[in-house]
This record gives sequence, structure tokens and C-alpha cells, in this order.
Amino acid sequence: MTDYFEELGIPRRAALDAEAVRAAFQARGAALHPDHARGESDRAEKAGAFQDLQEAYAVLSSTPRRLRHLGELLGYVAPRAGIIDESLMPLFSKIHTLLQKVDALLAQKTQATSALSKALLTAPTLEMESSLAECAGELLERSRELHDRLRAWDEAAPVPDVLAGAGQEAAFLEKWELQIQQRRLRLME
Amino acid sequence: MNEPIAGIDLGTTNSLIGVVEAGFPILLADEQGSRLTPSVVYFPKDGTAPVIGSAALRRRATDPERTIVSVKALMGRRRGDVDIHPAFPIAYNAQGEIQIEVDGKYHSPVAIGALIIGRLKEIAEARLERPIHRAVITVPAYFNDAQRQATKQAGEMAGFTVERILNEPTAAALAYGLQRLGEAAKIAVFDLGGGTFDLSILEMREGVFQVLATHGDTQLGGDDFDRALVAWLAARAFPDGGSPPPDATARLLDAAVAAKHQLSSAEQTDISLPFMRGTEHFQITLSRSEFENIIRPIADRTRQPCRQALSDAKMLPADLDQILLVGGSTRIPLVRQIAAEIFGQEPNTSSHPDEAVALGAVIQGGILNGSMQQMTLLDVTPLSLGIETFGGLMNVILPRNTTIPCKAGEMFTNAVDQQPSMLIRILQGEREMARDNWTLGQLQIDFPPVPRGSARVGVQFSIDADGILHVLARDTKTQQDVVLEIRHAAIQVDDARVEEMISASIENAFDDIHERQWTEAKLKAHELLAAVQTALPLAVEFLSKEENETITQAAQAVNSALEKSSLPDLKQANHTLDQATESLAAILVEKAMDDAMRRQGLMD
Repeated sequence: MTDYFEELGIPRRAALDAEAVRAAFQARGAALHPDHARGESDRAEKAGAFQDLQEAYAVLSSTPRRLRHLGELLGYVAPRAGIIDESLMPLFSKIHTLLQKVDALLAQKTQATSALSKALLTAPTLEMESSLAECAGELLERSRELHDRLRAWDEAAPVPDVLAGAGQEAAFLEKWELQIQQRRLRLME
Repeated sequence: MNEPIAGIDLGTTNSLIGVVEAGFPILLADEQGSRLTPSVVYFPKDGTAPVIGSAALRRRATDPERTIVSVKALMGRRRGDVDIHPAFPIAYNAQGEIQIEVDGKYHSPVAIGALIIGRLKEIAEARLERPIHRAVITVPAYFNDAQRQATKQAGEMAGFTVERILNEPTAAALAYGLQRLGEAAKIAVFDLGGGTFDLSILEMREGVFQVLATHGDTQLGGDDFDRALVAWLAARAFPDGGSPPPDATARLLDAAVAAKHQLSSAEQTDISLPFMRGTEHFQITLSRSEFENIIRPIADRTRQPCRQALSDAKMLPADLDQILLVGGSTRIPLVRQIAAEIFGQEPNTSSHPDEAVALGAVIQGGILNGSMQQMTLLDVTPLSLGIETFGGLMNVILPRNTTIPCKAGEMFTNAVDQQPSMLIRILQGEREMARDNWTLGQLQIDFPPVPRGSARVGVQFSIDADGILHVLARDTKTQQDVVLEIRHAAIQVDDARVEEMISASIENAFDDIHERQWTEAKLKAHELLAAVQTALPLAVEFLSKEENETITQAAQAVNSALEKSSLPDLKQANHTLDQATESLAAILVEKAMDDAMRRQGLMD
């Protein structure tokens, strides 16, 4: 299988800085880009190589996908179906409940047509926004903790099934971050 | 030396062309010395050759039905996509594509676009005294697959080999970055033109320009400001209501555009139109703040795409080093002010709003023919690409903001024994439900005659550097690749249904309209009354006795109109109550903000 770390020319690590991955992609991308090709066959070749590079970039810049790939490289195939880890449960139920409340408010907001009924929804909107911001903060904290753990593993030798667990955690964190971000954007509309 | 590749900005309002000469991008002027060619085509009454450019634009006020303007808004569009009503007649063909009708002849928007590009080609060839065969053409970043294809076709119809379809904000970033190749910076390009809005966030470093996120609105631009201003002027020129005659509207449009331009520098402007109604003259003074009030709701629609792009790029406004303004509509002070508010910094207005995009197209032409090797552009696909899956959901295959060219594979199998083939609907968009996204087309995948679950066909979706989709199917046994044709047949089926719905609704039109208006007014009344009941006790201490009284009376008027079942009375009463509660609404918003601030103050 393709080693995306090699493809992008960066060390095989569980913890990677997004900026560093991007810089590597930009440097390689400039050299491989089909726009700089000479002649049709060179163009086709570069286009293929660039698409492979872009795939490597997409995988390595996403923490869950990177961890899964690393696990695979180490010969461990992670189970795809996600089970929420015990330690994530309280955060999960908190986010789940909040998202439901926000969705109910968003539904009310789409129905409000007059300035007055919209004004009446300002207070709950601001309240929801601050709850969402609080959750986003907690998620960020969890992501940082995870990143620290990954860095510690990079120092030692990474253990495949521990990586798989971290990969699942990262996938949940990423998904919730996205859901919260989406709701915050819609609340501002 | 390599053959030059022209760079073309095919704009909603104006178009430009240029080439790289002696290592520098330059734009080419016509015989009158103008680099801007109005994107207007006029079909003369005597059936002679169409007139293109500024001569055609002069016909808009006198011959609106024969003067095709803003054709870009129609390119690659199908029935149901666009909600605009141009002054010239439009129709739909069997595929649901828009057609423009002049003298009983139908012209596709692509053909009109080709005439404009052809005129640019003429200008360039006259200036350079040599033929030009290749071109890069720009499109709004938020254009979908069909709009990109249509633009490419227009270029080909005009006799060009189209080497690249380039995103406009990215082009503007190239033009900006050309003088700053050694710098590393994160920039946002805020591109508000005549018909479209794009916001792209890029990182530039050592000659590499990587787009990180892009968002936009393909139906938001200067044309919308013009329409709003025309409506405002029409209400004053024809105060007894009803829509003004077409020639009056055409004159008001010319006056509105002129006033809009004036108000970018002047604080007020006089509009004077003699003989507007018979012998009556129409005269009015428009201040900049009045104009801003008219266009503010439209200009505010730029905010959401900006927030979305920032969120996608995982950035905060403070992370950005520059906010570049391009597109003619960024000359409007209110637009600049909104951009400054969103990003919390003064925008950079050093780019020429009309020329930056065209210069960028020229630079991309230089990159492609090898004369500007020091630059590399890594652009993205603006819309997620997916297929419809179980339960009508959209299954994303290539997410938005994926760097192009890119590819992704999917494996398909047969669901029943001997199933000969399956149909897949390909979608573009960000909504969860398939039906809320834009349908790109359908794909037929053929299976060998085998028991269910045992056929395996790998399908590769790839988006090329133009942002256009290609699909390959690979037979896993023979390793043969087949290019799959994307069919747009689905639309025809819908057509019949649309037709049916239209005729059905015309029959019941009168009852329907009255019924619907009454239901709407009643809903609005209930909403308002409930809101008043909740809001009054909350804000009673902030309202004067008179204000309180006015609101209570207005609410009673709504109640009695409801009892009488009178539509005009109810509409009027709703309107009065809506206005009477304006200050109450403002008080509530302010109170909610104060409370939130206080809460945060306590928490911090």
C-alpha cells in the first residue's frame, strides 16, 4: 500500500502540525503540478502524480484519517464502526442535548417573519451561542489533550490498537466540532 | 517562443482580454482605447450582424427586448435555477435549458457568451497583429459544473482552445501576488461583481498560491443593487402603484446605474428624467445614506459566505494578513464597510477592481505556456460532489475545498441477480438531502450477468483543473477503463410534471391567490399577536405610556380585522402593528445583548 508520509516527504508520526503538512504539500505540489508539464505525456503523468499527492495531503491533514493510515501501515486494520469510549460519554450526551435544543430554536427562527418575533428570539439565540462556544472550547481542550498523547506515543513506539482507539476519538471530536461549527454559523444567519 | 495564451475575464457587466508580453501581463484595448468591453449584445431590427460592447449597451434604454445584458447569470442554468426576470424574453428548450428569444429566433446563453468572447478575440488579434488560438477564461469560484462547462463551450464556440477555466478570486490573488513572490501571507479575496459574489481564502508562499477555502453566492451582485434601486425609484415615479411600462423601467435602470456610480464618491446625486409620464418629469435627490438603506439587506448577504469560508479554512479574521477587494461593486462605500466589519480590518483596495481578475487570467495563461514558471496555483473545488444513496441522502465523495485536480473511487455492486445496470444520480452541493442539492446528471453503470453482490465495478470520479467532473468505470476483471457519459435526462421527466403543475395552478389561480394571501396574512397576524403578548410585559418599563397605547390599539385592530375576515384590512393592520412594534423589537434586542454581556462579564 502507498505510504502517504513518504509521498508527502514527512516523517511517519501520529502527531502532525497542520501548517507543516500544508507546507510540505505546497513544496511538492509546485514541483509536481501538471500546469508546469511539457507536452501531453508529461502532463498526464504529472496529473496522476499530483492526484496521488493531493490524496496523501487530504489523508494526513485529517487526524482520524492519518491515524487510521498509520495503523494500516503498521499492519493493523482498525474496525470502522465507531463505539464511543466511556470517557467521551458525558461530552457526547451534553453535545447531543444541546444540538437538539439549537435545532428547535433554528426551526423557530425560520418561522419568525416579523421584527418583533425575531427580536424575542435574540435572547435564546445568544444563550445557545454561548453554550455552543463553551462546548467548542471543551472539544478544543480534548483535541489538545489527544495531540499531546499522540506526541508522547511518537516518542515511544506507537502501538497499533492504542492508535486505533485514538483514531476513533479523533473522528468523534472532528464530527462534533463540525456539527457545532455548523450550528453556530446557522444561528448567525 | 511558446504561443501566447490569452487571459479572459468574461464578466456579468464587462469583459477583458490580455496576454503576457515580455514577461509582463498586459490588458489589450479596443480601437477607442478602452480595455473594458461591456458584456452586452444587441440584435438590430433589420437582422444585420449583432452589435457587441459599448455600442450595444447604448441600446439598453431604447431597445431593452433586443439588448442582451448580464448573460453570465443565465449560462449553464436550467429551469428552476434562476429567479430573475430580464427585460428580454426567455424560454426553455426540452432539456430545461434557458434560451433567449429575439425575432422568433432562439439563442443559447452560451452563444451570446461566444459573441462577447469573439469580440475580445478580435480586439486582441488587432492589437497583437497575429491570430490567438488559446485562452484561459475566468468564472466565479462558486460556479457549478454546468456553469463551468457552459463557459468553456462559449470559448470554444468563439474559436479558442480553452486551456483552463480559472476561478475569479484566485485570479485576483495571482495578480496581487505577482509583485510579492517572496512574501508568505494569508489573504482573503472579497470579489463582488455585477452578478456574483465569491470569497476565497488563500495562502501564498514562495510563488505557490494555495486556496484553502472558498464560498459564495452566484446570484448576488451589482445587478441586485440596481434592481432594488429601480424598484425604489419606480415607486416614487409611479406612486399610484402598478408596474411601470418597460421603456420607463429601462430608463430608470440607466438612471439607477448612474446614481449608484455617483454615490461611490458623492454624498448625494440628482436624478432627473424628463417626460416620465406623458409630459410629467421625474426628479429626485438621492442621498448616499438613503441608497445604503435600500441596498443594505442585499449587501448583508455577503456576510454568511465569509463566515463559512473562514470556518472551513479553520481561521479567525485576525489570522488574515490582507483582505483584497475586487469586482466593480466593491467601489461602493457600504460594501467596503461591511467587508471591514466582517474581517475586523481595513480592506486592501490596491487592486484595480475591474482589471485584477483579467490580469490573473493572463498570468495563468503565462504559467500554462511556460513563460511564468515561477508561480503555481493550487485551487479547490467549491462544492461537494456526491451521489444519492439510501433514503435520498447525499453521500459525499469529494468534499468541498478539495485541491484540484483530484480523484476518488467508489465500488458498486448489483443488488439483485442478473441486474443489468444501475443508475446513479450525481449531485453537487452541501445539503444533507439529495433533493436539496443541484443534480449534475445521471450515470449508468453496467453489470455482467452474475448473482447479486458478486458484480464489482469500480467507479472513479475525478475533477480536473477546470473544476469539471469526469467519470471512469473500471471492470475489475479486465482492468479496462470506460469513460461514463453523464446524462441530463432526468430533467426532461421533471419538465412534464412542472408543465402540469403550472397549468393546474393557472386554472385555480384566482381562488388560490386570494386563499393563499389570506392564509399568509392570518399566520402573520397570529405570529405578531403572540409576539406582542410575550414582549409587552418583558419591556413594559422601557416603553412610554403612549408607545404602549399605540401597540395595544394596533393589536386590537389586527384582532378586529381577523374577526371581519377582511384581507385588505388585515394586511393594513398587520403592517401597522409591525411598524408600531419596531422600537419594542429594538429594545428587546438591546436588552438581550446587554444581558449576554453581563453574563459573560460574570463568567469571565
